[in-house]
Amino acid sequence: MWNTLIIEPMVNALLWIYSLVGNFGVAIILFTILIRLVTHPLTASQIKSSAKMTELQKSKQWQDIQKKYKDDKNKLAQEQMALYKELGINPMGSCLPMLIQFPIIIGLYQAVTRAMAASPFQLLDLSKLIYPFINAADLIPLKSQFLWMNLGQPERLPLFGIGIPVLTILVVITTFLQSKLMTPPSANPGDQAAQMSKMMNLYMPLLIGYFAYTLASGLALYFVVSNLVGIGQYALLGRLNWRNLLPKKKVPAK
Amino acid sequence: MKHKIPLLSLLLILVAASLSACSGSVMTASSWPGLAADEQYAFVAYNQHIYAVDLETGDEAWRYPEKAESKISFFADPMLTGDGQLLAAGYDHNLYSLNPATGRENWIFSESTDRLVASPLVTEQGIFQVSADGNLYALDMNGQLKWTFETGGPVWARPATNDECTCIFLASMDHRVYSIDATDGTLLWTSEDLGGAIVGSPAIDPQGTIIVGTFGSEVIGLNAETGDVDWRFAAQGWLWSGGVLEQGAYYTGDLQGYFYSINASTGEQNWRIQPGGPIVGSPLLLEEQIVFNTETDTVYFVNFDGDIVDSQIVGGTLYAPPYAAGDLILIAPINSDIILAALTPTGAQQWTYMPEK
Repeated sequence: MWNTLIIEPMVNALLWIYSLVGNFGVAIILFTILIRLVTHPLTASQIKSSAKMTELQKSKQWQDIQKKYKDDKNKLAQEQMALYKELGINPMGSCLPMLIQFPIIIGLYQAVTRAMAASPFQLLDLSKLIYPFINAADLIPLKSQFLWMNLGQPERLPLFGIGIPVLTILVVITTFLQSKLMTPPSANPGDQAAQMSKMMNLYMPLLIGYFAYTLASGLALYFVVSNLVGIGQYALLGRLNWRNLLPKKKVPAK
Repeated sequence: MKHKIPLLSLLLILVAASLSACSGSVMTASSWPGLAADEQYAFVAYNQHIYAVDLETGDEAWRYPEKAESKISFFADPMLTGDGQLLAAGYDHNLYSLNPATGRENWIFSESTDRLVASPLVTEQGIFQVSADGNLYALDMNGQLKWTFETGGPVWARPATNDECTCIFLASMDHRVYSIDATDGTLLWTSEDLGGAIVGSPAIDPQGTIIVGTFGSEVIGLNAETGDVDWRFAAQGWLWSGGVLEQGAYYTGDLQGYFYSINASTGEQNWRIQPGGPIVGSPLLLEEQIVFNTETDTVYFVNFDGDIVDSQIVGGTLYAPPYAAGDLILIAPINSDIILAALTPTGAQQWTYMPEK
């Protein structure tokens, strides 16, 4: 089911783009942009719902019911739902698009991995995924050289006798920027959710950076492009939160 | 906002799991076992070790390296040389020479810049190792580099040679076959683009035809003197491993599960069968029958008229070709609770082997 609905169409789309441009690096970039464009309505819906929720949580009405029913969880939930209804906000509006996009993003990643087919297992697997209209015999092996990188190998740019992982550094920076710029300002910066979000903003770039450092550079290229397109999407919708990049002013203890 | 905490945690875990599952690291097997045998041991190259297994008992005699190292992995068929070396090509880009009796290391050749997927060819002129970096490395018997020859794509197929010349026939994933002088690496000829990548070793007919199977679903006969295409045979699917020749017939299987007998001089089909499941490994020729296995777990015994005379379900997934070791037929399944099974020529199971961790 996963292969049929997600992986096969994506792998074949990627190979089709490759057959047009003849360069796997360019194919990864175009394919990533294409998928992000196709899923843009979901992203836009998620961004708008998330913004509405943040606004709501800052509102006086919301703060009031939090205080009023702080000892009665059931009543608090009822009042929150009533408020959502009154203001026309779907509480799952920001989560659902994210959940729908998640398999697509993982599928995109897996399609890139599978199309590169750097080992016999992967190539055998790829042979089972290709649609008949794709002339795979012509395309394989994919030309994996892009700029200074072999997209099937971890990337290092040799400088002064040392291999510098340029793409890994770009992955860490763009993932960090994406996390920071896309995080809406918290209604309560000290609460557990805000702390969790802060931790995610720190650990996610390191985790993705580790994968970029150890895995094939084709994936690192995908990470960078995906991050940049994600930032671009938020920028187009005017939702980038540049303030998150500035150092926070410390409030002196009273 | 609070409902996002478990969601974000879940996403982080899912991202890590999804990415690591596809990492293709050396800890995850990225190919199937390679086999070789001398009179005493079967040698299995699988994942992080080369295992020497006693042919009498199925007990492990030694393993190399003794302790698994994350960067080392082996899948290509190990190769025994006439001067008593066991050569093992690694996915860590290195070619290892071991003592087949003890598993001790003789030397390591480490100039390849990509994976060594194929096993080396050993001739009187030395050792010839191909690499996914597109090069053929010619070494002396001490692992010293003599010369290199570069093709236009990764090379996963073991080179071939014949007694008629001191030449090497090299099939590359760049869709071409090359003939190279084994003494100095001079290019003798290059074939035309054959329409698909070649990952199976070429077979050489004594009449002067080189036969390869391609991802263009064709078996192609080339003139060994010139590299010109003599004939083409349309198969039903991709040809993975190279086929074998016997008395003017070429035997091979494809990923659609067809097994063929083809006239090696004309490229005409003698017969074909489709027992079930993709055929990845090369067939094994015995005196009166051909042995091959299909991905789906079964070893087939076929006579030279194309009749299935016997079959044996081994279990697991069978990609590695069957290997003859004395009177035994060695089968190396994956996705199974064994990595080696020894069968008698009638298909009865003699012993199995699974390494202890």
